Amino acid sequence: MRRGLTAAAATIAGTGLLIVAKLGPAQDGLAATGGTATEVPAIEGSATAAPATAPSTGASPVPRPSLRPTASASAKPAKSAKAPPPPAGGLHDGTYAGPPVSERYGSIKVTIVVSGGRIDDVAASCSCSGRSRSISDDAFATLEPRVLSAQSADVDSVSGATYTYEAYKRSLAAAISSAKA
Amino acid sequence: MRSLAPSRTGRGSRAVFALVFWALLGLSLALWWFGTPARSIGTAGDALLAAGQITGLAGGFVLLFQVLLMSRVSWLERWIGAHSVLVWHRELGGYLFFAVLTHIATTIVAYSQLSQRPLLTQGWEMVTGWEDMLSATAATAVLVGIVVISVRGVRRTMSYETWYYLHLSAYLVVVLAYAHQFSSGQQLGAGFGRWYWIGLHAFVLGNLIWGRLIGPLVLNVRHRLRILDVVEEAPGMVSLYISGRRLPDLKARAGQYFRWRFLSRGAWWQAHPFSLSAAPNHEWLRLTIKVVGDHTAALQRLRPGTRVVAEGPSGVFTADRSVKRSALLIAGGSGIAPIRALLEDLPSGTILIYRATTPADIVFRRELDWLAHERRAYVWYVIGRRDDPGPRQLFSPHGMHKLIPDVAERDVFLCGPPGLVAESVRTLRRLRVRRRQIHVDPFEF
Repeated sequence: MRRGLTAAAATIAGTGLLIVAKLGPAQDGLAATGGTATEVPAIEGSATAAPATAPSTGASPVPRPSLRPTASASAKPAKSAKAPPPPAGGLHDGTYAGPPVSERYGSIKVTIVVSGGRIDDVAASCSCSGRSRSISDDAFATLEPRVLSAQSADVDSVSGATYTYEAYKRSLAAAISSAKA
Repeated sequence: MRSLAPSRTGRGSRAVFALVFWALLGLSLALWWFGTPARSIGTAGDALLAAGQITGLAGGFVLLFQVLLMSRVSWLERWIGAHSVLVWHRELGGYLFFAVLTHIATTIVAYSQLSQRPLLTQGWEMVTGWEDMLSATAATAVLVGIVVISVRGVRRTMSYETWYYLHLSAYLVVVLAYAHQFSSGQQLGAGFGRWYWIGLHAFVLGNLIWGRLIGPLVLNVRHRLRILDVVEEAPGMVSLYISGRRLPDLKARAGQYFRWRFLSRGAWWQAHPFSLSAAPNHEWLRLTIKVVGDHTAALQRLRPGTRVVAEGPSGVFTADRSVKRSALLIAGGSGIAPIRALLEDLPSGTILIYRATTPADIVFRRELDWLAHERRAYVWYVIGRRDDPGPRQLFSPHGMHKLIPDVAERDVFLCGPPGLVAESVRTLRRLRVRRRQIHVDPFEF
């Protein structure tokens, strides 16, 4: 009995120490690792719009296989015109990848396709595994229609996926701002 | 297959065993340490989640270790001895329960904090919605059941067999809890953690299959043991002679025991450990049993020819564990069985002290006298209860020293009721007999 209590007390103390060692300032746990948003030049007439690999991330983001082909097929070659007409939504057509934003359980990267000045498609990937993967995949599915209707990074949060949501928003915001530039 | 090279189970090897345990536990927790970025725990929810992960890893590891301890592989027993294996298993059992409960509680509270949902809603969602969590919940239920039947008061109400077979459901805990560790475990989903964890499971499973299935199967197919004869030695003491093919290949030694299962009606479903009561020879093995319950009473009525299934040989209560050149044997009551066998294996000059309550309770009298003559050993019969003046005098430091002046230079082998063993060990320690010279039969009477 006494040994049992000692073991329990040692576990509590040890767990406490381990946690204290990893303690940090109470922040939202997010840090952009990819620097500023990078624009991925859309190749003219190309049917695929797979985002190029993001620069320098510890974790390797795995992009979704492809965006909907219709989106990029109908995407006007925005960069080809010498003086592009001011886009309707203030966004230049093309495919833009946000930086990978690391959260507690992995790093999240959002890619948008702009056509006709509007966000036409949005894809996200998470370099995470296990439970986090299924949580974030669910969250991405919930967030996609919200982004398409809001046409901005100002979307409602997803309950149960707070970290994913925060990281998603930051990567998305960066992608949108690079589409405006 | 079984090497019987002399090896020691002294305090040294037990310390190494403990070291291996701690190292592996540390490695398991290192999965969390290296998988969690520095300064990443900011909120109470984060801290609780981390606590859940740490206790989960500790609990998962201890659960596997528990199964390994009970796998009956011979290397484990030779390493630390059967008694230590049992003690480890018993002590870790309670801890496992604590770790698992903490893991569950902290994880549910953590997610309810992070998602800002009420505790019960969150708990329900995790159990029903998350992958493999239903089976993990069932595993917890089984574990709780095992703990309940192991509480002393409850355990006393059931027979040993009932308790034992219910306790076997612990294997279900391992099976049911397996999947959720990989599908929800942050540290075990991929990479080194995944392979390490799978490796641990594979290692334990391999040992379990070897120790519980293949080993016994090979032994019984090869030796085909049968009852040769049943002989009454004294009132309430019966000897079973067992024959079989290629007995020398068993490589059993005096002082060891087997787990015996007698395939007769009413007895086949119980397996019990009994020591050999004579050094094994080419013709037969012998075990001597005190009739104390229904099962042992049924063994008295076994007929020659009955098939016997054995598991073993086990035990490190053997002459090759001696560290000195001469020996002292102390037996009480039916504890004489392995001691009688050991007397054949020990050098001349061995002294045997055999305490029995009345002269009629002495078994093997003729054999002992003959062995004493043959092997130049000295046999002292002490008659009376432990509290009677004669035995009390003998088992006092003064009395023992008077009888055996060189006791500190002998290995001492003890087998008997716990009171006798405890008192003798105390006396021996006061006579400066070192711990590694004292060998106690692992059976708790």
